[in-house]
Amino acid sequence: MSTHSHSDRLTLGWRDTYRLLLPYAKRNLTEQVKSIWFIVAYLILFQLLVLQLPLVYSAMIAVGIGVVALGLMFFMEGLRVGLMPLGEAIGVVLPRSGNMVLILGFAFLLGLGATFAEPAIAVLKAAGAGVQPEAAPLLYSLLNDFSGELVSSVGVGVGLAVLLGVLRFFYGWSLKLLAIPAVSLLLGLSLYFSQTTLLNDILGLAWDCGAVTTGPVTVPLVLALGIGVCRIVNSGSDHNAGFGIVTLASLFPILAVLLLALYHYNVEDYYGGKNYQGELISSVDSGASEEASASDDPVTTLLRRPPEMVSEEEYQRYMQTGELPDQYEISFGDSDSELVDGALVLRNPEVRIVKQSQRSFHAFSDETWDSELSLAEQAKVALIDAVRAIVPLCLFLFFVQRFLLKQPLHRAEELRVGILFAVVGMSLFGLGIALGLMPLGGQLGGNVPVSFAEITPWGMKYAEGPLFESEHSGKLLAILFAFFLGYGATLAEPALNALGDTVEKITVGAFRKPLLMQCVAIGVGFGIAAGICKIAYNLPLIWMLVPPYAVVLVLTWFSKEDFVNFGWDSAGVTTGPITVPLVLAMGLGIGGNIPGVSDGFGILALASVGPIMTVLAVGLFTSKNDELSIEESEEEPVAEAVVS
Amino acid sequence: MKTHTEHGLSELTAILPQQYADVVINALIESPGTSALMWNARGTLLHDKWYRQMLPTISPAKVVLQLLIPTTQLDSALAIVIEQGRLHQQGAGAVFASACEGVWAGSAFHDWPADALPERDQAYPGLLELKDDLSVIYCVVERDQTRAVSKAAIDSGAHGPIVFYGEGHGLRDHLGWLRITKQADKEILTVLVDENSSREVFSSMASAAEMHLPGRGYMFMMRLERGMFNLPSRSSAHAYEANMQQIITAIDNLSGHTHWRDQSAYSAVQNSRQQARAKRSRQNYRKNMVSVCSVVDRDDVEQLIEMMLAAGATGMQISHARFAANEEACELAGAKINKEYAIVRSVRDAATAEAISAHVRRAAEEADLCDVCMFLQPVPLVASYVPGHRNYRAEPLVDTVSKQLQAAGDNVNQAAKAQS
Repeated sequence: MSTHSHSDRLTLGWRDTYRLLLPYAKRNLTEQVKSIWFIVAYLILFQLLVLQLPLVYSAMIAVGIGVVALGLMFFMEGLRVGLMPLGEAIGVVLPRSGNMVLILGFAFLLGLGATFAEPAIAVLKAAGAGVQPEAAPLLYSLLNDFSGELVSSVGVGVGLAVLLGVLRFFYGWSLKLLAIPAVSLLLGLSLYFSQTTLLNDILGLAWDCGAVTTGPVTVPLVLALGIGVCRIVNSGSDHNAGFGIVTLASLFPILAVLLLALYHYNVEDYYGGKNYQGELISSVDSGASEEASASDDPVTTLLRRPPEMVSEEEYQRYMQTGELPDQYEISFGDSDSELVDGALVLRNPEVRIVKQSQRSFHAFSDETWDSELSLAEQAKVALIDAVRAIVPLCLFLFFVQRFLLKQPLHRAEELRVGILFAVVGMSLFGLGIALGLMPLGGQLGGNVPVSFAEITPWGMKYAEGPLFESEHSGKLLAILFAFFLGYGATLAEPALNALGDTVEKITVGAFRKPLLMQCVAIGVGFGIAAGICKIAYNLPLIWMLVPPYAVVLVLTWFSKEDFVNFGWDSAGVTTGPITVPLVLAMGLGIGGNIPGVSDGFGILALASVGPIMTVLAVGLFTSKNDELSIEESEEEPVAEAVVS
Repeated sequence: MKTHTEHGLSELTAILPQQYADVVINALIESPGTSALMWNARGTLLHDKWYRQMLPTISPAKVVLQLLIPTTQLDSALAIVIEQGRLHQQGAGAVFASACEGVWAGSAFHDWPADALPERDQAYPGLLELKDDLSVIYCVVERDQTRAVSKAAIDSGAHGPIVFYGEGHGLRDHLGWLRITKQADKEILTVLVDENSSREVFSSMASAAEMHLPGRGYMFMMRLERGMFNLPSRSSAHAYEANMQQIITAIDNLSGHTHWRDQSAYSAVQNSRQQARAKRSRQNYRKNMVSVCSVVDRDDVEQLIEMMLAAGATGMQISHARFAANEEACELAGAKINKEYAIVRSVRDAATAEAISAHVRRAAEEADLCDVCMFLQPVPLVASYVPGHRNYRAEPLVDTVSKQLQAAGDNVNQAAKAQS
């Protein structure tokens, strides 16, 4: 029969193909434009209207943003048509094989492989770029000497998390009973770490690891896998529904990194420790580098704007008509004052009339393209990243399906097209981020400190002073900016889109995707604002982590199991390829102007607490609403009925 | 292959609140050999205050239960569902049954034993609520249309539709890889109506969904043998002594009908809007069609779709269901391994429907597809785009395809005739 459908297939001419593809492409592109317009418009308007600075590389950014939209269009379709059905298909077949060892082995390898396919180490290195070996030796060593071990321990953490997550579906364990002890353990360990200076440096890195490990390929794949497994496995409780793996996959890596740090702390083979294997950077070198960094220090090299001259012409006009030039400042000086007959007399006062410096402000700077950036090189990097993230995982899944489970692949043609779309989409997406979002977010992140400090903004010759008199209002502006940056960037995240679709599907439309996305985006906004707060005032991370997580634990305890699942999972997916570069650029930019802040760690960790809180709060609210307004209790209470 | 001509078979569908679903299923499948299909759905409730529209929508979780049982067992099953599901409580749910004709089943298909349920005393009070003049409207639409259609249904006096997910197949299966351009995901709305208001509800839903346009969806109505429903349409503030639904039920009981619920008469704006829409839409209803419905193991569903397409079914809706049965289930690590079924439905004219049934029966035998069952049900009213009816420039492709398919279907018909 299978050949029958092929003979039945319509032969479509070019015209009909075009008629099919055009509305399809249009629909999907509009959808992606809808999801990214807010963040793009917000960033550009903030730069132009609030900071009043010109946009550098405007042409490149415009092209880049177009490419991002195009890439997202392909990638999201690739997820929908290719990756997610593939994951779900395997999830369905796995439990039927009846071989628990095979299932758990598969789950572990999937988690491990996903971590290596989408390595977060580059992000972490970027965040820790300013870490000085002397200031934070253990952190420096973990990022440089032991970066391989770091990735492996995170990988093992994710692998164990997926394994436990799948096992949970079979035994019907509640996520509450896994997440609450796990987070309590992590908080306890963190409190212990915060007592020791060396270990305290690690906290930001560890908690950030949890946030960045789960990427845009892993999350949808793992979600789809979970849904597939839960379709088949009936553990008695109806609420598992396939979520929870992502949660565990963001908690376990934190534990893994904390344990790795503890090990190296005890063995003392970190930089400057007793058993350090690597080469110490000699003191002469470090002195030189300090000098270099001192000369790079923006404060010392700030080129202040020369005062504006009153021209000869204007002077002549003043002499003739008494008309002063536009926008001037008057100052008095150099007078002898004395008290004569009860009156204050000023003798020989000098009145200085100085023209106010006019800021020549163009919307776009003359530099429209970064000449150092090679398009071909960027495209190649993006393609390699995309292929590495998607192809090995798909081959692994295909191999398991065909040769270990010996099941045919349904709709293979669609899957192939989907995976191709995913690869194309992800490469374009990566390229677009490098061309458009990185320069845009980078310059804005670098420029935001202008609100509270004097810096030389991008593309400007002279320094710009603080926008506000008080440093606190300037910092407040930066924090407010951070809120909307987090909000907008989150709405554009592909992994969150995939989670939103899945949640809508599982609840049969009761929990709509836009509601989930708005909740999560607002939560991330608050989280990132808190993170910027931490950096702007150099607050200790531990006191930023403990209170929100304590609140989250309480909310979790009182929430319904479904909402615990969505809420915690959305925390794991929030920090993706759009949020991370934007947020890190801002964190580092602000940190650079605050004495004593050298790294951008901690913001991402805080960004994942926020959404748990908002989703759980909305969940508590709706379920209360639900109970009261629908199920009448005319005769007997519902609880009693269930027991009978 | 087995046929069920000796005793009639009925399709019993129950819409239950989530918390009672397990109780009902356990009560129904107590004796060996019995089984049921179930899937999740959501209710629809309108907020009664405009400002509450900003709040998250309330969609009470429901479970839909479907059984194929001998008609002789129907009363007992209905009584169990009403009793255990507490359907007499207002806003709880619904249960309804329709007769199946021309039933055939594959050898591996689960067969409901004729004596599984004990005879019930006819005087059971819950059964008094059963009506025999109900109809059910199924409406298959794209997800973003659901809200508008639900609102139209409620405004014309129906309860809040029960919505579940399904797939739409047909055209897209002929397109090769290009089928990715047509999303299969659909939402299926289920509305139960009294005979006297069925036509109004049907036409207002059809014009809200703009069923006359190509590529919009499909909706049809079926007569029910017996059933009852008790589903809410609005949520209301808790401050009131009686909630809106209780008041509505009370007026229903007092007036003895539900005509008064039709809101369109009271709202001038809505009325004119509806008229304008009706004018534009020129719905072209088709009458006296037949639904071909098939229940098949989910793994074999693609094979079945191909068979049905080959036999001349142009479009079909598919919903997926979990299988609950009183039998030894495979277990792994303490968890049961579920079986899944797909319910495939296509509505065609009587001759084609019978031809499809016959063709698929033969093809299934040839392909050794034995976990399958197929039956026919009369469908008095259908609203959908009629190819060639009017040239909406949107999709000429639909017309080309449907012509080609029509030709294919005719060939099959002729072949079937020649064989017989």
